[in-house]
Amino acid sequence: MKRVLILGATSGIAEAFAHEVLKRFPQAKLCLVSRKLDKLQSIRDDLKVRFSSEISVVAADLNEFSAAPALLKQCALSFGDELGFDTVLIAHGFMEDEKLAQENFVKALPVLATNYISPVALCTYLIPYLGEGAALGVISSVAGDRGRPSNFVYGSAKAGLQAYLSGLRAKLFVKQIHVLDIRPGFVSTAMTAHLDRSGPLWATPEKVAADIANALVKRKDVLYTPWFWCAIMFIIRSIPIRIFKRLKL
Amino acid sequence: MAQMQHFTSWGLRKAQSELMAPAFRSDARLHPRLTTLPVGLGRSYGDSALNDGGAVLSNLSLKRIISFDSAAGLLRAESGASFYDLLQFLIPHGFFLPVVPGTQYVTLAGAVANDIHGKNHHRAGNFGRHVMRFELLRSSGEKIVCSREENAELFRATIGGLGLTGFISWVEISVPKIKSSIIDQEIIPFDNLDDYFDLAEESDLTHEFTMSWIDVLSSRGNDLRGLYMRGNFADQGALEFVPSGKLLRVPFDLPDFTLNNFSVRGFNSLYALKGNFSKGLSKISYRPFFFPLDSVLHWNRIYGHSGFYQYQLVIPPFHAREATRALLNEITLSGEGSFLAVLKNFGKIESEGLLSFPREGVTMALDFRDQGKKTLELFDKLDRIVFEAGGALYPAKDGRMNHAAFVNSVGGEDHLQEFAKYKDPKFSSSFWRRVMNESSPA
Repeated sequence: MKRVLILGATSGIAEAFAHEVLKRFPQAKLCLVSRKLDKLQSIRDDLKVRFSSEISVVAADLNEFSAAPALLKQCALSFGDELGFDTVLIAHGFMEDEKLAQENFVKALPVLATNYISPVALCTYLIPYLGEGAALGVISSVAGDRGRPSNFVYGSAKAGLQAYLSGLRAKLFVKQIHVLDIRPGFVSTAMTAHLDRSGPLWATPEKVAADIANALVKRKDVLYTPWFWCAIMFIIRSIPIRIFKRLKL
Repeated sequence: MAQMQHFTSWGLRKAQSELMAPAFRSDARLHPRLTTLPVGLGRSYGDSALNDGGAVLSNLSLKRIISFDSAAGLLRAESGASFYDLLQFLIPHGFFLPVVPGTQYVTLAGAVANDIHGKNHHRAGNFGRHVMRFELLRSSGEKIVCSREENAELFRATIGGLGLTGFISWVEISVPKIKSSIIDQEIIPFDNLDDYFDLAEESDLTHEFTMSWIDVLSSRGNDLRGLYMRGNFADQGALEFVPSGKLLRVPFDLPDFTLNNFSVRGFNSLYALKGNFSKGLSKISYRPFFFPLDSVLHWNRIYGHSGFYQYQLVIPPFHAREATRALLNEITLSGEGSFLAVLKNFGKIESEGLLSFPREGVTMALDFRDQGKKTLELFDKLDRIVFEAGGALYPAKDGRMNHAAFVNSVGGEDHLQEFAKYKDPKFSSSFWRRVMNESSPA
């Protein structure tokens, strides 16, 4: 990892990932993108004090799909050359009160846009910037493994993303560009602060970030993090529909 | 959307509060309806970091470093940065924290709000002395930078102000240089209280860090078994941060009978034995020297479900010897064992905080299992000795003092009234309502 782009860089997992990258590769150049400049700056200041590395920040709304090509160009140029990226993490996501989203489409739309359409747009425009051997990690979610009554609007967007990544992986395989589908379980970040996070299923963003870095290095295709979500989701996917529809999962 | 959640203090007091946990400084807000209390890692023993029925504003996601000036030795970081995080950064750069408590799992803002002290109080004073400036978010929406030059009154009220003057979003401190992270330690066993005071007087001149552990159960008249520990940073050696690694963890509250007078006696004897083996000079890492209990996560659970109280007091020098003896006699009479008891002399450097606890004299910290009325009655007796000697109690440790004791501990009504001018009206805590006899929020 020498030239790393992180989209949605102010998410808890993305910030922890930036630290993880510089811990392992102190010489790496980073470009961080998110909506709020002041937040990006506080992340950059922290990283600079700790690692004294080269970090650029770009403030942009990732839901403005038409602006994506110009944005990616700006990010690539921020490294001062035209070599593109060798590692990209797409980390932005958005969770609405699920009950609201299920009953009011206006509330559902940003969930679909941020979690599905925006990553698809970015992946599409990213390909010219990825050379042979590059790795593209995209955070989907265990929620995309099966639509459940408690969060199927969010889950359906993530499921769409999973299907997209599955196809993209096969398409880019010949170019030796690697695609990692990252499926975190419950992570203690700002996005989940309103939930009761006691209990053994909750993981820290640092743990998840370390898993992601490992999976990118090892070129894994699908990462459940922490690992036990692989078993949990296997069980949830295995429940027959006629039983599943009666459950309040 | 937000719901009430359970919170537990280090002494296992319980409360229900709404949690707010901003990921960035610019996201920090007060609760629109309820009272707000800033909270960090929850190492306060009693109820000073609880806000039952209100909201708590956690700084645990705010742990970024903002700037570090190694020439001037100045570090500015977000308020939720823990001492563990900061040492991880500072030690390899050849710096340490100016004052550390007995655990590295406290946040910067917690250290300010309780104006904590450490083993170097006789040299460095308390933590507040090393705070250069901080930013305070008030309920008015203002963000106020406070230092000795700007907003000096608010600066003084916030140091030791128990989180009641506003939400601290960042803190700038001065950090001392070290040549190694190794401590030249010396352990000296002693058998009576006079020996302790002699050792303390002598050691404070020669050693940067001093404290002692005492076996309260061995106290008879002037007899008192203890280990005096003193140390200095070594001039040579590695600058090595010790990560937490694989730690022992107490997984749940142990049964209430785990700690009884027999097991306390046994533990204290073992500890004395260990001290006798390791007495004399040795070189040890900063971690076991400063943070011996951090190697067992959640050690507080050994007290069982009913929890425990810590009682920490300071007695001014003039009455130090006789009042300490009287306190120990009272504890012996009560038959209550204290698992961990610490004795240390505070030095002359005064606190700037309006409500700060540390002041010149001898301080003693004692843990007692919560046995209800019996334990509280003992504390009332101890209070009398402390306040007759002109002493004070430490709010960060307290779960039971009354209004009069609080007034005495903060140096009188005048101090409290001065503090009230700067306290933010929308901030409150379970501790504050208890000692001020305010009713709980509906």
